[in-house]
Amino acid sequence: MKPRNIAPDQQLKDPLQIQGAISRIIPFSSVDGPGNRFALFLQGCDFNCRYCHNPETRQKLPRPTKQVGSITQSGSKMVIDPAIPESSDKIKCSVPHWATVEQIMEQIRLVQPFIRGITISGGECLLQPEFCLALSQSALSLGLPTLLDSCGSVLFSQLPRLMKAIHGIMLDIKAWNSEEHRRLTGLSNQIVLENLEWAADHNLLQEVRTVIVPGEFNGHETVKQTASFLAQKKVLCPYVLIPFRPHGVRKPWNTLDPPSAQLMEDLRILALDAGCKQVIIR
Amino acid sequence: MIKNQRLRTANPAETIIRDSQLTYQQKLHGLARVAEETVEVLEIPPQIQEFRDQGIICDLFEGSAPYRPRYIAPDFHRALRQGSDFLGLAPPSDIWEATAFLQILYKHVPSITTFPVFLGNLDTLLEPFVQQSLQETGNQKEAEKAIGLFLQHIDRTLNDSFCHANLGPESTTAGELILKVTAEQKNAVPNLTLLYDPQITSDNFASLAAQVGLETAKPSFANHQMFSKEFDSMSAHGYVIASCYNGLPLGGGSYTLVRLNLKKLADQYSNLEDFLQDLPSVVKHQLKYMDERVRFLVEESQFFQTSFLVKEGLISQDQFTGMFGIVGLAEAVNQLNPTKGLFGSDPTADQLGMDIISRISEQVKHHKASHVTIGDRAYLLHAQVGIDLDQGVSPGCRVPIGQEPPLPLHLIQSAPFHQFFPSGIGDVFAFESTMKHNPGALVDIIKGAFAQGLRYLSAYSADSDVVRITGYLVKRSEIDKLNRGEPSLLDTTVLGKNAVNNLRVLDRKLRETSETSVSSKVMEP
Repeated sequence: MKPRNIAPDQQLKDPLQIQGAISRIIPFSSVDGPGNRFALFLQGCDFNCRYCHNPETRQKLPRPTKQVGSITQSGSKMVIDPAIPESSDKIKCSVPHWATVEQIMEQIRLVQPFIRGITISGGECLLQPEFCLALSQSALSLGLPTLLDSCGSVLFSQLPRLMKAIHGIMLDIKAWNSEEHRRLTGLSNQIVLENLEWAADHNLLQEVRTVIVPGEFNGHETVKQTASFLAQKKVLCPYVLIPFRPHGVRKPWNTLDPPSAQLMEDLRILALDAGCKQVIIR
Repeated sequence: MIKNQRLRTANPAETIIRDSQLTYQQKLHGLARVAEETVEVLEIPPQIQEFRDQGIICDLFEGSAPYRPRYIAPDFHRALRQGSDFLGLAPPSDIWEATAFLQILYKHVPSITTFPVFLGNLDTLLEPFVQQSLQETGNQKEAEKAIGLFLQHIDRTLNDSFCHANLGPESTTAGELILKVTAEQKNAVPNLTLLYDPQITSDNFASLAAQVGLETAKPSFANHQMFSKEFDSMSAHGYVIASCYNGLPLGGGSYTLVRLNLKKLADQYSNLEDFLQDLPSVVKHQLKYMDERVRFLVEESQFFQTSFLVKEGLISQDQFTGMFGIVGLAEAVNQLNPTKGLFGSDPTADQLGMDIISRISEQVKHHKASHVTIGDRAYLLHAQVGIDLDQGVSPGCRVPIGQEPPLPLHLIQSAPFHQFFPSGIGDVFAFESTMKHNPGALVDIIKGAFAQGLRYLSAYSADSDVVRITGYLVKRSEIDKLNRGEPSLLDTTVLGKNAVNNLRVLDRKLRETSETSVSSKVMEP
């Protein structure tokens, strides 16, 4: 699957002017990687996970017809395009919009003393790899490493420059069985599993996650297979098991039962028994 | 910060005696204060008295006859080294003797609260004995038990939230055990601060402290580099964090704390120019009042002539200072700012606040106090943390609760004020509980905040029973007891209850640091 959101002409532009479709910004995040991080959520996703807790990030934004931040003349007045955010001299954190790498960097510089790095998530951030590359390189110039939070729908091996520019990847394994994965997310997991192996081989796995949703897929099989794979590859990063939570989930899946504490603990033991070195319930 | 409202009513002694929500000890202390109020020995000119009656100058119920310094910070290291003749104690030789020694000594350290406001750098005091115990027993059990009983003893007998112990900056086994026990016991006493220096304190120890802080609202974090440099330049022997978050000279303390209520002063004016014109005169009157209080204490009360703490070298008068407090800056600015911008979110308002503090700071710096030797003989500015009776008056230079900007902007806004307050200023932040899983995130925030010049930072998790009120700790479960008409062991619980009602401290903005909590909000500056 090729990344879709790149216009060929973007590759010729100043990297700082590359535009990204942004869903939201959390300037201080404690749940998107180690330490305090600037977390950027990109808009647009190819998966349609039933239990998605931020389904508003799926919709892709139509590309703006004008340059970001443009002002046009309307009669005797100057009008700022309403799709463009206002001046980013203060932190604006929500409402999907387009922004350039430079505009995001302005916000990162504001909080730079307080953060350990940045995390680019979504939606699916790898649908905008050029934006991610430019932002990662800019952040690194400030001494801030980048983690990517991805569902793995885009082949990592096709993005060598980006993979070199980042510090690690937090990867979701939604389900191990391909048919279950398709039922759960709308797409097969073939690329996801290929990515898991590639990231393991290239020592880029920061964290592997599975959301446990009883009745929606075989959690025991997914956990066992994923844990065994990580053990076989001698991956040391944590395998994080996340209990399903209905907050933000669309109907009718918001009525699904969360897993019991006992089930989560059973799965944790299962993963450890399969040889996984570090298993966390979050 | 003492509940003294009853002293102003008819027959205050009888009111105290009949109060069913006071323990015997609390009644005893209350009756002592009533007795003190019958003694009039200070010479207070009419203008100063008028400011006091208006609440513009306030001595925080320090008493009409100062007979002991308000805050005392003994050199406990020296005490452990030499023992105490007055108390008949030899230098301790193991962890049990060391903790018993301190428990005894604490009972003989006076203060405004009648309890010691500084308990020592507990980890460095106990580390040699902890190491000795580890060597002799081969494990930590004995040391952990001794420390557990020690901290429990403090909570149950020095039952006042202004008793304050320090840790750090070095990482020690004793420090780790103190934090471990603190997390288990979840007591409001003692108040606790880690003297934090990222270049000295290990990241692991800082993360552990942050983790415990999110569980129990302590320790807070003090900017060790900032405090050390300032107190060294004052020719102090070191510094301690005492009471709420007061920076004081080690082996000394503060004679007095008097505060200027900028909100009440601003109430007297309809425009900024007149306020600024009269401000120097009000500051001068407060300085004069402080001088008079100090004069009586030093020259007539005989404290420094008779106290065994002085005779045994645990404190020295030349290491004492005075604290010039301010409170209600935000409200004063918001009332007088010609642009009507709000303090905390408008640059003109913040600049006005900076202007007011700078003027006060300069004037206090140039006032030579007769009985102060260190710090070029000047009193130290203090951002007073409020009293339970305050309504509509924000502590120190804090942004009012309900008007707080997003956390990054809040830290950037607050930091520049901290340089003016060597005797204490601090900000308090409530975080959602998800941060407990990643305490390193809090350490990152603190590192950045200190690099910006923030002096002191407190954090707690929104779901913890122990909460930070303004600068001291109280348990929500203890407040519930008072609400049911039952007495609380901690005499500061009632302060916390009143502060919850009057200052809405539990409505402090929750600092959200996860996607699920901000998914439907626009975070406006």
